[in-house]
Amino acid sequence: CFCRVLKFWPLSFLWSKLSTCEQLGHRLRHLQVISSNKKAQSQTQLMRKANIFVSLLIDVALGMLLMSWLYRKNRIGHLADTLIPVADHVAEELQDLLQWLMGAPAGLKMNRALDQVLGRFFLYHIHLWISYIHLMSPFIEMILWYVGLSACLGLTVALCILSDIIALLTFHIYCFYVYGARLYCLKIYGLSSLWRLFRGKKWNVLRQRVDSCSYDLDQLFIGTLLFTILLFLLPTTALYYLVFTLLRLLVVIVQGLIHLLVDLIDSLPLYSIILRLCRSYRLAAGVKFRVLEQQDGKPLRLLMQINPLSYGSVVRTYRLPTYSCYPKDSWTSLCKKLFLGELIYPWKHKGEKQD
Amino acid sequence: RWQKVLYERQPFPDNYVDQRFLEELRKNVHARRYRYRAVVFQSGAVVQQLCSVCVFVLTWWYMDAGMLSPQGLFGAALVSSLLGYVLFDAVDGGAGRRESGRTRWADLKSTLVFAAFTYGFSPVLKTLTESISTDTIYAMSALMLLGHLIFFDYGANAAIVSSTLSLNMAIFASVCLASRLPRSLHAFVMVTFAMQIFALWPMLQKKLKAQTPRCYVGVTVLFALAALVGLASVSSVGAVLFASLLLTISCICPYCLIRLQLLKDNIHGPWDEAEIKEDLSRFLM
Repeated sequence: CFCRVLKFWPLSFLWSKLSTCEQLGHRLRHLQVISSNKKAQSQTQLMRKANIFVSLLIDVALGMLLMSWLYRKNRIGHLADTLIPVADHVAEELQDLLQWLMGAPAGLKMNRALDQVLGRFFLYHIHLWISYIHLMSPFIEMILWYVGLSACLGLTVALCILSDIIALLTFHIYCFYVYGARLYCLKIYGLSSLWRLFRGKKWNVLRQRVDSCSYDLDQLFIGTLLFTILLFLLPTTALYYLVFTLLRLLVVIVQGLIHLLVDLIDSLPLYSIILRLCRSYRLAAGVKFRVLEQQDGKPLRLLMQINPLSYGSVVRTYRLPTYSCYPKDSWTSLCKKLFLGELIYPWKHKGEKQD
Repeated sequence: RWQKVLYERQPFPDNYVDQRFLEELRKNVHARRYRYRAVVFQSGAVVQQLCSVCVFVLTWWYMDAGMLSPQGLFGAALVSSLLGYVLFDAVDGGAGRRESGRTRWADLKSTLVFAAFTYGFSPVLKTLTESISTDTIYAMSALMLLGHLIFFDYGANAAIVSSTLSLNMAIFASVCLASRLPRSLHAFVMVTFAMQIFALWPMLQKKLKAQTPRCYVGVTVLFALAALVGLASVSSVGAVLFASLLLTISCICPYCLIRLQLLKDNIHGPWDEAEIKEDLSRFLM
């Protein structure tokens, strides 16, 4: 019934955006699997249940360890105290960057008017962001204290919360990236269409190809004027887009690393590995025979020994399925999207993998 | 007798060469015989375009030096456009306008759209190339105007001709140059003048050429003289060079063309590829 509540729009939107909620849902499903009354049908299901149980146990144990470390010696207070100055520092660095862009960055020739407009627009956003952070500063310590309590649910949940906090703190970078990307994308499409007009051609939607076209005089005139304007304003927009895309990629990489760690903890089949270590005869890859005695007239006596699985195949076979978020775009399509200015979301969450 | 077939046994050896060898060879069947005066007349189109480019650059030069005020240029261009507009219809007695079905109201709307758009965008145009060095601007404009001359539709039916591309290149060059002028009013007037001289003037000239050839020759000569006089006031070396260029194109090049026709050596015969001369569109579904 809880899941049904989540289907309504605002909640489901938030649910899909926060990775903490995904992780919690994942663990809930695991709990359901363990606590079901059906007996395990096959060896695989039994191993999976055992793996899930051990993984949950280890997770909660590590989480408790982290919590005890955090709540000792008032570390939460220290964390809250350093959070605001760090956010301020990041905002100041961004302001310096924008001032640099509004000047003559790296000796590139910018269009002064457009530069000023874009720079002032982004600076105003940073100003709003700093005010928001300062507004929240009295409550930060309390929020962190309560949020730290959720680490008892497991280390993975704590890591997911960290990733979400990073996403929230760098929300303004995400906003800037979206603005810059949309502007750049608009410019690129406009330029390519007007370049076709410049040569006297047109994109034929029906045949999906470029055809020649005889334009009217006024269309030609206005088209060429717009083409000139867009062409000369391209370096400015491209530079802003480049800078903000690099920042966004940095944040995305950090988040990706955290998620990779969470994935690792989630999917490692610890029970199977421990079984392989201690009782390796339970996991068999095959048998081998050894001759015990071989005498004439007497029957042959052989000793059967079990070949244990290698560690690699143990991990591969008994890996727990996760909602793994690996990059869904290949390198070439990612580069193409970056070049055209389309928004990229490299770590898209897939649905749960079915075995 | 020897026959030109291979399927009958003949009393001649295999490598026998008959006297009728190559009697079906024809030379220079499609060669055209040009007349000097006609070629000179047609070269007037090239001369006109060169003079247009020259006049445009001169006007920009004067405006840059401050010798020509934007209001003066705007007034002169407006008056001459109105004259040209009236002449355009009067030359063929309104037949062309009736054929194309373009009303005066549509013309007026186009003009208003141009004027409003250019006026609205002239501050943007003014600051467009502020941070680009002057040499780059000059080089780009020169390249664009050269491209305009190359791709212009002089009446020939060649693959390289593209009137859209040539007009666009000319407008691009005019925007580049206009962004170097002192104020946005200068930029607006410059771009409007470019539009008139690169888009409207050739249309009028084509009509004059078709309807009244003598008038056309007179107008071309006057235009060339005006360009030369203007150029002379700026730089006498340039004027001399330009005059020699015009003379080469209008007098010497036709002479060379006619002389070189005599050296043509095309051979035709039954060994040529077959050409389908019939209209095949009746086979299309």
